[in-house]
Amino acid sequence: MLKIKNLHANIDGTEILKGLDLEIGPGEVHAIMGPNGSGKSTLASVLAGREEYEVTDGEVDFDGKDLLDMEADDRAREGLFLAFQYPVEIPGVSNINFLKAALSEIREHHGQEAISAKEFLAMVKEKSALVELDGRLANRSVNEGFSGGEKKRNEIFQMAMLEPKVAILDETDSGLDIDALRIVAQGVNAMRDEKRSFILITHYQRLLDYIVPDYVHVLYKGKIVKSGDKHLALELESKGYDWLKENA
Amino acid sequence: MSEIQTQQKTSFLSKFEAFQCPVYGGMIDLRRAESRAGLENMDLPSSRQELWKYTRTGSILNKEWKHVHKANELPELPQLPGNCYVIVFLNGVWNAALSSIGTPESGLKIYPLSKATDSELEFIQQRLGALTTETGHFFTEVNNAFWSDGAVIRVAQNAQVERPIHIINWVSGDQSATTTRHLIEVAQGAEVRIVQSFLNSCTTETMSNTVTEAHVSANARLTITKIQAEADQGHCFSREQVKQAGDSTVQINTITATGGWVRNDVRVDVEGQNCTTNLYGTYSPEGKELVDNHTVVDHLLPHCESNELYKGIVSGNATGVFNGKVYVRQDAQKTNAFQQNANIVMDDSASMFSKPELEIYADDVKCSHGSTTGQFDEDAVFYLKSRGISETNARRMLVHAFIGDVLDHLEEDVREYAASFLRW
Repeated sequence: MLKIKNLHANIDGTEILKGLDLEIGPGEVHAIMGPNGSGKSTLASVLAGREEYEVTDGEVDFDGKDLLDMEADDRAREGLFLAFQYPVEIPGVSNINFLKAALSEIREHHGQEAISAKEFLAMVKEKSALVELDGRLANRSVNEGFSGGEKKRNEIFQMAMLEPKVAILDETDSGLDIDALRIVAQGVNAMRDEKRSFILITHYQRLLDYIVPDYVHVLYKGKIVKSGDKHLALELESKGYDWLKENA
Repeated sequence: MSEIQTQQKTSFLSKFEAFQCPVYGGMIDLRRAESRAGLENMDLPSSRQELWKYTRTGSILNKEWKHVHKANELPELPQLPGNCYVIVFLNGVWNAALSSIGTPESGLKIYPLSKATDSELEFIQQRLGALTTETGHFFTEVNNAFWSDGAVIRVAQNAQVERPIHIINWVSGDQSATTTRHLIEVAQGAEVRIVQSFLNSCTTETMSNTVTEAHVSANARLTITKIQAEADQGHCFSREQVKQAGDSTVQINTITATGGWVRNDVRVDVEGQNCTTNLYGTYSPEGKELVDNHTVVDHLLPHCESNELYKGIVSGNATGVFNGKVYVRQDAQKTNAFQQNANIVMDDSASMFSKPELEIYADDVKCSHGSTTGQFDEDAVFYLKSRGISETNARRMLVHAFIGDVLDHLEEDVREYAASFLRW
């Protein structure tokens, strides 16, 4: 589904990703952990197509297509989704209209018919219930005046609406109380299937109690330095990262 | 004034001397003559004057303007949705074929100045030009002296005009200039909505000079929405001069969709207590366009409220100017006056000059003004793109969101009409 080979990326002339390799199969959930500044969020930004980051080497194959060659909007239309670490507030743009526009463009891209108003509203109702997002929030301006937890739930709601092939969750769990975390995890788990893949970027093992990953990777100084299964996360939680730093 | 300037002025004014202006006798002609004489003592607008600091007038003053009496062909005019009265001026002269007034509803009179009946003349003699003398404004004075025709709209006491009145100011022909003058009277307790469209033919250089004078009586309500959608060869000067009596409400919306050179002067003298004055505007010049909005709200008496919100998006090499003045005179206690100008400058080569001004002489008032000018929120653009929305649509959504709170103040039919001209 997603094959990252030898990925190098800079921001403002500083190299952050220094030859990252990662292969994610359909339906797999990969957690990426690592100390601050190791390049976790850079990876998310580069994959989503943020222009401030310059890719200097490497390639990313997304379901048979060259991901790095695509604009951010095309990546989304091809089925890549990023749940933002800091969702942006957009006053004056209603959450619903924005999602409708997004869904229309994605459908058009795939040569599908536009969704009917009725279908769309039914979908909004179903998916917002999934993350227990109040109907009123769906009608408000995008993220404006939302609490931290509401913003993160809104990201998962959008993910559920857009039904991506690969979803990257960039520290979606950070700062959430346990109830909100449970709701977010419930939304993600409901969307897991044999085709859809997830990349969970996180600081905390706690998330992985709720969304159980197939693989856990440790990112350090711009490279994956260790991979394992969910037990690796527990090991990291108890031992910290220092033992890996020494190896790296 | 230097000799060159005097020559330039004489040359500019001589173009207008050739205009065929109707003769009425009495006060109308007297005011016209006074204005003509007044022009002799006025300086041409130049960037040395505060009123014209950022808006160059060279492209207007040096042209061979002429009054093109007949438009070559009748243009296809845009229509407001729904039922409305339409009164059309082609090159400053009423066009019967394109207008559609029918028999106006009870309490409403609409007619062109050129078709004023004897019984209406007394009113026109009294009111026309009564508010626009001594404005100190060159182009207004040119209009005072040389106006050719225009609409008269009179709403009788307590009449509520249901259908909007659409005045269309159309200019066509090479180097065609117009001087159009509209006169509005809203009697006590009456209510009317007026939409003014400013349009030109797309291929030639034109200049329109339109002055609208409105007398709003006690407890009356007047809304004027200006839709400006001239092509980039168009020069559009327009002024609204309004006098409000007590308990009245006036709203003027200025929507500048396109236009090479656009200058709006809105002046409202609030001469009664308990009045509401709302001025809203939006503009989005691009390329080399220039849009200049000058507004004045003058609070003379207590217990009044004014709200002003102008929002613009300036891109390319375009220039935007906002100069909003609110006076709160010594007697105007308990005034609530709010003024806000917000701008997005899209490109390094685009300029925005914003000058909100409050002059307060009363001591028990609530007033605020502010101005913000910033860049596009690129994080928001990326956020929308990351959901599959194209760059163009993302920017359009953000622009609509930005100017939405101006457009929200328009009635639905007018908003729909305005939106059809907006380039975003």
